[in-house]
Amino acid sequence: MSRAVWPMPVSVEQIAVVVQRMSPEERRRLVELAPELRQATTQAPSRTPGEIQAAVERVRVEVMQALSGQLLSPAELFLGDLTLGQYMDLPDEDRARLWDEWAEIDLEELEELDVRPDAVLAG
Amino acid sequence: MSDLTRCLLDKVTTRRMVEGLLGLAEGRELSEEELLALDLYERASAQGIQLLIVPPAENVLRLLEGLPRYSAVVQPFLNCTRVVLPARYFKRWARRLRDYFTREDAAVLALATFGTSKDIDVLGMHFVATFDQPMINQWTLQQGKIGERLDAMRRDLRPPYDRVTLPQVLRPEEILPSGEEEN
Repeated sequence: MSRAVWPMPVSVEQIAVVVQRMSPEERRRLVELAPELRQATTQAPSRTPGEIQAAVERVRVEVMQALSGQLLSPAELFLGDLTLGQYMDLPDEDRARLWDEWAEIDLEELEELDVRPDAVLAG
Repeated sequence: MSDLTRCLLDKVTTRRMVEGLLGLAEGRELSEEELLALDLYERASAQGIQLLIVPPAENVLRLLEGLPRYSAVVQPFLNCTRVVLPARYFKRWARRLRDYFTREDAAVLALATFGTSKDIDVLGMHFVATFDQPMINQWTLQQGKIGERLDAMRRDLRPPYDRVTLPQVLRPEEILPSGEEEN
């Protein structure tokens, strides 16, 4: 769960002082260059590590129940003549490429559907 | 489903969830993204969030479901997710979004506005869940221009397509039911 921490040459407090001295135009430019700033002020706080661990533990219990307590072996045959272990050892980009191959579908080739007049919108 | 907050999982987020489930089934240590994806998977139903996957991801999961040892892991996932399908005007909107995004990203984002379910009773998603930070940044940065282009397109559309909206594009850990965002 650890994240890489990049050493900053100045403190957050020093950056705040600089931001306070900026013109409105400079602040707009700053947000353009670092849109994460806008997201950080408008989004809900992320989940805590404890909440995440507890949720994943509940999923683990469900998975083990579904498997009657028997773990899957890395030697279990997976898709594409690979074993589960071989698949999981592949670099992420290779696993992504395999999913594209196995999917055998292009979203833009699918027929567009007409929704019901009373379809519920997301807005 | 129509009353739920709808969250479209991009292909990578779907893959992280499934690989996370397989990791639990194997007893291996999970990556940070797998943990975050599974956290969203676990709390979705309790928080009234309907997770949707794209048809290519469903195809892969159906293949996996066909393998006996994996079906116990994959079936519960398929049972609690729905598949998003292109609604009318999806292709037109995807073409416009290609001015800002790759073809694949544009298609997913277009599905989040002009996407429906097999029951064709919903239109659009509240959220797109993704780990793709550059895509999130680009969506945020170009929000004004994209909104203007959608407004221009909507003027020529008939109901209910003339009321579609843009989704929020967020990381899985930031997805909360509609109305619970801090604004």
